[in-house]
Amino acid sequence: MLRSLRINGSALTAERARLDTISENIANAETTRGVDGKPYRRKEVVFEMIQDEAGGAGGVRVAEVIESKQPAPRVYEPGHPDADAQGYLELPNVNIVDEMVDLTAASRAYEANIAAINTGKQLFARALDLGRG
Amino acid sequence: MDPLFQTKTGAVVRGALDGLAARHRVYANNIANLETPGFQPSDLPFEEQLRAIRDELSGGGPQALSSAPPLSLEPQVEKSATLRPDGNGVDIDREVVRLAENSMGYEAVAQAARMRGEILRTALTEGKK
Repeated sequence: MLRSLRINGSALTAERARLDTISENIANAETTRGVDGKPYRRKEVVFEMIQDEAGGAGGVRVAEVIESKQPAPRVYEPGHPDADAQGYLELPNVNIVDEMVDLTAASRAYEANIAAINTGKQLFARALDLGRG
Repeated sequence: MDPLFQTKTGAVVRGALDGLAARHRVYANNIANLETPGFQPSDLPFEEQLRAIRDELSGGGPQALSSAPPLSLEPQVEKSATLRPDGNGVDIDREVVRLAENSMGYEAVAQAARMRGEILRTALTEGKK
C-alpha cells in the first residue's frame, strides 16, 4: 500500500518536470538568440514507466528531454539584428496554444495523482484501524 | 498470522483486503502513467479467484484452511477502446472512478473486519473492557 504512494509521487515529479519545460517554452517563445546563438527550440519531455525491483509497476519518470523537430517559422524582417543575409528571421518553433493545451493536461494529471495519493493514505489509515481495539 | 484471520471467514476477509490493496496499486500506476506514450492500463480482477477459494473453504473440513491456495494477484493489461496519438490508452475519468470504487470496497471490508474483531474481543473478554 505504501508503494502506491511512491508510484503516484513519481508522477508528481514527472509532471512537475513537464510543467517546468512548458514554462521554459512559453518564456522563450520569442527568443531568437539562445545560449548557442541560435533561435530557441521547443523542449519536450518523454515519459516512460518505471519497473520496480520485482518487475512490477513502479510509476513513471522522465526518460529524456528532447528538442521538438517541428519546423521553425521564418519571417521576413531584414531590420532585425538576428536576421540572416537574405533578411529572413528564424523564430522559435513554440506555439503558445499547444503549450497551453499541454499545461492543462499536465495540471489535470498532477491533480489526478494527488487524488490517488489521498485515497492511498485513506486506505492505509483504514488498514491501521484494523488493529485498534 | 494475525489470529483474527486464522479462521475460514477471516481468510476470505484477508483475501479481499489483499486483493483490494493490490488493485489500488495497479490503478495508482495507471494514473501515474496517464501521459506515458504507448502505455496501456491494467486491472486486477480477483473476485472470481476469491469466490472459488471461499467455496472451497466452506465445502471442505477444518484442514481446508491450511491447504487453501493463496490469491495470485497478477495484474492484467487491458486492451483500450480508444488510443491517443502517442499510443497511450488511459482514460482518466474511468481510472479516477474505479480508484474511488476500489477504495470504498476496501473501507467496507476493513470496517466489517474491524467489527468482527470487536465481536471476537468482546467474546474473549466476556464483555469486560
